[in-house]
Formats: sequence, structure tokens, C-alpha cells
Amino acid sequence: MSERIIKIEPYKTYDDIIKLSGKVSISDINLEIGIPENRTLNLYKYEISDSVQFIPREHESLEIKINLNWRKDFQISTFNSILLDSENPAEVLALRVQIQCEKTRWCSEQKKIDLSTITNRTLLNFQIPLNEVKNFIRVVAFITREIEGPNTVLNIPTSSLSIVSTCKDLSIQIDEIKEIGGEYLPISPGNIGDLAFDMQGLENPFELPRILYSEELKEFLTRDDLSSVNASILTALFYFLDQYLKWTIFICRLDLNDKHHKSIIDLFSGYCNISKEELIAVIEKDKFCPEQTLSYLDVSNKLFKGLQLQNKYKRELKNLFKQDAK
Amino acid sequence: MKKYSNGIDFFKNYLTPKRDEPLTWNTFNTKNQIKLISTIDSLPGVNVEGEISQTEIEIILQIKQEIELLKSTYTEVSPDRLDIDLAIIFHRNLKKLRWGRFQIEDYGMWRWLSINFFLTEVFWRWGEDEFQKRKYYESSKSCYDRLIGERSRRLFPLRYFITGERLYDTHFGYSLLEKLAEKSREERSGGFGNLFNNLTETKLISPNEYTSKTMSKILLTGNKLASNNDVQYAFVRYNAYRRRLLNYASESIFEREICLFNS
Repeated sequence: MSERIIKIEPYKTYDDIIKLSGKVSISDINLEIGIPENRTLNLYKYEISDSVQFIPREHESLEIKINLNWRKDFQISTFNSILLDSENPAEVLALRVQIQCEKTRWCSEQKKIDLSTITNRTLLNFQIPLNEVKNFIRVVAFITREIEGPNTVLNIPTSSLSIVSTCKDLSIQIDEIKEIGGEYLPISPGNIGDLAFDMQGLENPFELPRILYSEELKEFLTRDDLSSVNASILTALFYFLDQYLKWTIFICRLDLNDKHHKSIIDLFSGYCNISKEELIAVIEKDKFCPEQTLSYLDVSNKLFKGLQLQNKYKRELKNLFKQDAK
Repeated sequence: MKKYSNGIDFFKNYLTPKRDEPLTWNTFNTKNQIKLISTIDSLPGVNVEGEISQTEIEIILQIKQEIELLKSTYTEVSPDRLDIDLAIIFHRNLKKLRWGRFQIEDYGMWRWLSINFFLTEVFWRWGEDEFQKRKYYESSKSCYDRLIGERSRRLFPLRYFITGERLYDTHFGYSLLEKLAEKSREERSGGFGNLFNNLTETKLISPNEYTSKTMSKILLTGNKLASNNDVQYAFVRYNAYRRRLLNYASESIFEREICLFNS
């Protein structure tokens, strides 16, 4: 008996029509920090000036001010194509904005905005209690259908609260994130002979490869107070992450319901400063086709630079050199 | 508060119960808190950081006292039917320390708290039944899971604190939890176990925990209670609805589309 796959297309959506921007305000020290164009702000040890760093955990709360703007060439009538003919987007749709923390599962109140009121002067304020959040917070926004419609057209969403458009998130890092050996990459000691490090499982398309380090090095590599350990990890990180990138693009059978696969997409999307959708599109190309290989080279180069910039690699390296020179 | 700076792998290496030696391995079956602490404190490389304050000690002792009272009040009720009461006890007391969700991820602290204070309670809730049936390995494994927490969110005090965080309401206080506790104690059925598992381990992000509260209310406070399977499928359905934002969906939408059971 043959097997037939009947593909059911999801309903039409129209993403990234409204652009979020904003700033973080800390009233007790009268400080405002803008969220950069790449939508990612690292507040952890944010340098206010040469010698002054902002430490979020020294404060009880943050205020986040969000601006909303229609992207160039888009307007409210853009949504006509994903509504029924007789429907008016201003009456049927609304924008919902909230701030959330995946780590602690905290979520702010949700603000519902009438689409017809969105102008570049629209400003939303959120108070973030720092005792409720950890690592990252994300500003997320969706345009939802607010009114149930007749279920007549297959590719038009008619259930109330269907998400017809997702805005690109803003991400704000609050705490230091220890990624290697932490929540993303599996790293553990192992018996690997004369090798100091090894990667195993690179041929398995389903499970993340594992980084192994020699058992003999365990007593040192589990300490975070040794500059030689930090230097080794910093250096090896480029290779490890590039191997993971190759695995993700060329070997992995991506399953976005798998939390490990999802984490690695998040990781590379962050470091390479490309959207998850773009990265997934690269992964889903025919394996090893010339376009995929070219895309890999491009993403790999972005990873090399992003890794240095986001981890403040130059500064870390300089500190290590200074310690060694003393 | 004190905490272990060793990760879970450290504890796994030394303490995972072995099926082939359930009787020789009895660290978690001794009911002897002091022996347990001294066993763990003498593990080579174990490291404890921080200090515990007098207020923290008083709160912990208060929790223990309230659990004793709960046990003596409901002697006829099986311990697993008292989970919601435990969530109220842990949450109400630990909130006095102004703990919030930031503390939830500090597993080293919860592990220390669990091991150093709650052996008796863990054994009563998770190990005693199996021990009486001479299933020594299962009993040890259950206690180990709750004291050491191979799945971190299952650490004994943490599991209850998280559930409290999910269902406590700044406006209505503990009323939903109290209603659930009453149902759980009175009925012999109902998927309270799966409700706990899903509240502690699934993402469910919504303002003021609207989703957790609505689903708990619909599934387990009505005249007929959802079974463990009903609860499980309701959360599966919720997770499958990724293209809808149900954060403020009305109860009728949850009843019609998510929490489907024969109520």
C-alpha cells in the first residue's frame, strides 16, 4: 500500500508589518538606554561611560518604553488580503503587546492597541519587576483577529485570537549568560585518550552532538576562576560553534518541536544577527546544494564576528593578557 | 540562603540509587535527616556557598510545622491528595522572604533547602508507600528525585512554590488553590498529578498566569473532574494552538477548544 502525504497549507499571515523600537529607562539614576537597530540590547554590565557600568540587579525594576511604527510601504489596508472581503482591518484586528521572560515564565500585562491609532508617536510603557525575570526578557507583539468570522475561506483565519501577523521581537539581556556547558550545548568529561577535546555524534541528524573534554582536565575545566581555562574555552568556542553550525545546516533534520533544536536556532540567530526564519530557510534548502554551502559560508562569517562582539571578546582577551602580563 | 555550587552531575555521580543494591543503598530511606546531611557533606568536592539567616530558618520551621499540622488533620487522606495544600504552605511562607520567580532557577539553593530540611516530608509524600510494600529501590528513587532533583523543577519545595506562583492571584489570593485543595482532598479521582506536572514544567506564558488559572479552574474545580489523561490532552491541545494567542480568551473558548472533557 502506498503512502500519500496530504499537505494542508496553514492560513495566510503577514509578518513584520509593524516595527517595534524603544528604550529602557531607570528612573532612580535618571538613565535611558536605547534598544539598538538589531533589536538586541545587552544590559548586563552595560557601559554607561569608560569606567562606569550599569548593573541591572542593583535596581528593583526597569521601565521599558516601546514605540510602534508601520514599516515603510505598509499600512492598515495591507491586512485586507488576509481578511474576508467585507471586513475592515481596523474593526477586526488589533495589536497585542506584552513583555515576557521565557526563563521564569513571567509575563507583563498585555496592551491591546487599535490598529488605526498606531502612529510614530504611539508609546507604550511597561514596568518590569526584576525579581520576576532572569537572563533575557522579550518584547513580543502580535496582530490578532478579534472577531470570529464565518468559516468560508480555507486560507483566511476566522477564529478569534488567530495570529495574523507577528512582529520581530526586541530582546533585552539582564544577566550574564553562560552558554557553553549551560542550557544550549551539551559538554561533559569523557575518556578520549590523548585528546583534550572531542566532538561526538556529528553524524546523528536528530540529537545535538556532544562536546567531550578529557577526564584528566575535569578538575580544572569545572573551575571558573582560572584565566588559562577561560582563555582555552574562549579560543575553542569558535571551533565548537562552527561545528555546531555545520551540523545544524548540513546534517540536522530540524524539528522545531524539539527543545534542543529550537535552542540552537535561537543561539545562532542571536550570534549571527539573522532572523530565525532566515536561518531555518538555509537549513531547509537541499542538503549540500551550492546555495546552501554559500549561505553557510556567509552565516559562518557572521557567527565569527557576532561571537566576538556579543561576548565582548576583545575586552575579555585584553583582561586575560593584562593578568598574564602582571 | 545557602546553596550547593556543585551541579546536578556531581550529585548524580555519587547518589543515584542502584536497582541491584536497594538495601545497602539507603541514604534516602533512613528518615534520619542528620545522617543524610552528614553523608552529603562528606562527599569529596561538595561545596556549599552563602549563609542562612535567622528569618529564613524561622520560615522553614514554620513550613515544617504547618506540614505536620496538615498530616495530623487529614490522617485519612493519602499524601498525594494533599499536594495543593503543600503548594499553599510553601508559597505563602516563602513569599514572606520576598522570593519571586528570579529564585526559581537557583536550583543549587532549592537542592540545599530540600536536602537539609525536608527528608521526613519527602519520605512521607513520595517514599513511604513504596517502602511499606518493600519496593526499596522505587522508594529510594522517588526520594532521590525530590531531594536531589534530576529534573530540577521536581525538587520538593520548588515544585510546590512554582505551583503557588502559577495559581496565586494578587486580587483573589489563594482562593483558586483552596478550592483545588478541597476538591483534591475530597475526591478520589481527578488529574491533579498531571496538573502539577504541567504547571511546573510547561512554558504557559500569559499575563497574570491567566492560562494556568483558567485551565486549572475549568479542569478541576467543577462538578466532574478531568482525569489525568484529560488534563494531559488539554495541555497538549493548548501547546498545539501556537497560531492563536489565547492569553485572554474567554473561558468558553477554553471549554470548547482546549479543556475538552465530559463535564
